[in-house]
Amino acid sequence: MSRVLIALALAYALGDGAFAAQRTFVASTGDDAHACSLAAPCRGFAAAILKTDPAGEVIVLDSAGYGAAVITRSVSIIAPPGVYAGISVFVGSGITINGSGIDIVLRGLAINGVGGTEGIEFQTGATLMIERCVVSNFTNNGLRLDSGGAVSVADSAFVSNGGDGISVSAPSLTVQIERTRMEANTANGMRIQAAANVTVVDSVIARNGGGGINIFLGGALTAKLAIDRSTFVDNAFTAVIANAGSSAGAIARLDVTRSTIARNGAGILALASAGATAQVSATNNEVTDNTGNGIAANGGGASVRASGNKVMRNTGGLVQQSSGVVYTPTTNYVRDNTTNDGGHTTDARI
Amino acid sequence: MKISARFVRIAAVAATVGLSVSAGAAPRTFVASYGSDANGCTVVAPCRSFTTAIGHTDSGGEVIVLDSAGYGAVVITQAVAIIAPPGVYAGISVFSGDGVTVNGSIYVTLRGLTINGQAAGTYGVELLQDPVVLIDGCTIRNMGADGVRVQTGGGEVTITNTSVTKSGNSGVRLDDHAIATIVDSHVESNGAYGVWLLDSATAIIARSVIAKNGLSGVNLYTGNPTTTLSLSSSVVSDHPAGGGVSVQSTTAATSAHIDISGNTLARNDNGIEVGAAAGATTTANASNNQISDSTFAAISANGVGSKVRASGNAMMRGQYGIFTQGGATIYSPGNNYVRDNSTQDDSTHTADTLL
Repeated sequence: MSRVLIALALAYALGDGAFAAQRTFVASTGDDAHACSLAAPCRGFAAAILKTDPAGEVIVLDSAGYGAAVITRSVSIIAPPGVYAGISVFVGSGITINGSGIDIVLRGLAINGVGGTEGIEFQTGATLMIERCVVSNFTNNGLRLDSGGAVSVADSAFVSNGGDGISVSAPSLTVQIERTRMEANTANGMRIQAAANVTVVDSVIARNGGGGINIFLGGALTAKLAIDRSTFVDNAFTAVIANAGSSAGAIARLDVTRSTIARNGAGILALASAGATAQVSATNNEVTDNTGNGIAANGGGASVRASGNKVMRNTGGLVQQSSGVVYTPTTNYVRDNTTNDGGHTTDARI
Repeated sequence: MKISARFVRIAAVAATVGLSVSAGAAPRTFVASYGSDANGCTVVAPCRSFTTAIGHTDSGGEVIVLDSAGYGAVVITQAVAIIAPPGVYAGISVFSGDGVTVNGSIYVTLRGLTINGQAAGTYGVELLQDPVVLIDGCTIRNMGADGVRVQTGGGEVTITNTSVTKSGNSGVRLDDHAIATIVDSHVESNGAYGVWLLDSATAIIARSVIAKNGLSGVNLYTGNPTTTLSLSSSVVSDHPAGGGVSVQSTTAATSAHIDISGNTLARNDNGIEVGAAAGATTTANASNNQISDSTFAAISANGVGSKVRASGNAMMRGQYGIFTQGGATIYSPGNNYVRDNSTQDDSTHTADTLL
């Protein structure tokens, strides 16, 4: 008993200033006056993070809400499956990451906006891993990436946010997204507005009020996006857009591979004025039942290399507009569109 | 009713006490945050650490984690399964040495563990002397050396639903004669290679994401008979300092064989990089991959012994689509779509036929 007291006293002494423990705990029965140990867990993430060593872990012991947090040091917040770890956000952001060079893991959190602005905001940091999180109902974005760094998202959902599901707005970001849903957001499933490198695989992008995933560049930036084995359905606007805009030197590069693109406002679009460059490679996709065009290039800087796609029942199948070029090595099956061939340029393979 | 319940409990305790301490007490033992290593590791009297629990477990038995806590690093020398079911966090913090060491020709399962190396530990899971290890649903992070290491002397590791991140060296390192199957896993931000195969190692990788490692995503480095790799339905991206997949047979009479199919390889130095020293052989089959935005080439081959069969790939927006040098051969049956590279083909690929 006295040993426990000494340990507690030591933990308090080390508390806020010096870091206390490699692993801390929070529980519905906890108290932030505790040392956040297993025997004496804390009640909220914010208190537990302060009592955790850099690169340590905060573990959620049982189902409850654990409050918004601003994270300024490397930490993993881990709620195992079977435990609901909620963050209700009445104002501001659910999780704010703001520390130079820090590495953050968020696993198993349910972050829900009830007036909050951003679900997870990466303001400053080195790496961010998000796994098994659900981020919903924010007035702005689900995940907002404002800092360069390495970000990966797996098995998560960004749903019913007022802005974009995921907003990529900082340069020097490398983003991997796996098995994730971006669904029913008011704007886009994901929007990339910066010189970022992004990969999306095995994901579902559905029923967003804007587009599915788009690159939208407002200056002379280079953004690269690769999408594989994903599903885009029922988005109000175009499912996948590489929009380099009109700035000279702007480059938007996009691969869409092995994906299903159905019942959106339109399918795949390269968009760039002369001087800017939008280069799209569309390979082995199913592009069907979109209200507008299936695969299109619009503008003097826009091109699509389309190969092995099935393009059916859209308004236009392959469409060239305003000097945009859709290249095809005659391997696409384009049928039952209102107009199958809205212009294409035959290409060769080697 | 009451009496019989009490009788059963007494009998159970008696049985546990009778069998305990000496190796192999029970087919199933338990650990819990409230346990004590002085206990018999039963469900009513669980232990506190993996190490003690294994000592009370029959060969081939199971150690079950009852609630969330840390359970300590462990050296395993008998067949056992350590199982943290979903809903339970079972941590191993590694301040030095290994998280889990498996030593001997035994079958071991690790399920649901979170191994955190604090950037100080050596290996997350180390295989010594030819064990067979299944790693399922685990998180291995911040190891000083490798996330998973199969040492020379053999060993077979299956890694599923697991993430291996931020190791100082490689995510998974496979030494001589190691065999690995990696499925539905995530290997990211390790210092050197995502997966590194050395002499006579074999790996099958499917439906996984390998990204942002310091050198190559997957590297084969063969100085001994034969190293093989199958990589399918995966993403390998963001390796500007190395190939997405890079292969080098380094000495005469050695060989490497790789099959790379249905992947996205994006933003690597070379998408696929194949090399062979004089007298060595490297053969590669690359089919139906999307290979884009490579700093250098989508597929690059070097050396007389390097032979690549490329079919149905889209190779876009690199400096080169296809690049050969040093007498290497890249065969194409005319169905690769190679465009928007600074140079599509350095005019040295060899036309091939389909039947």
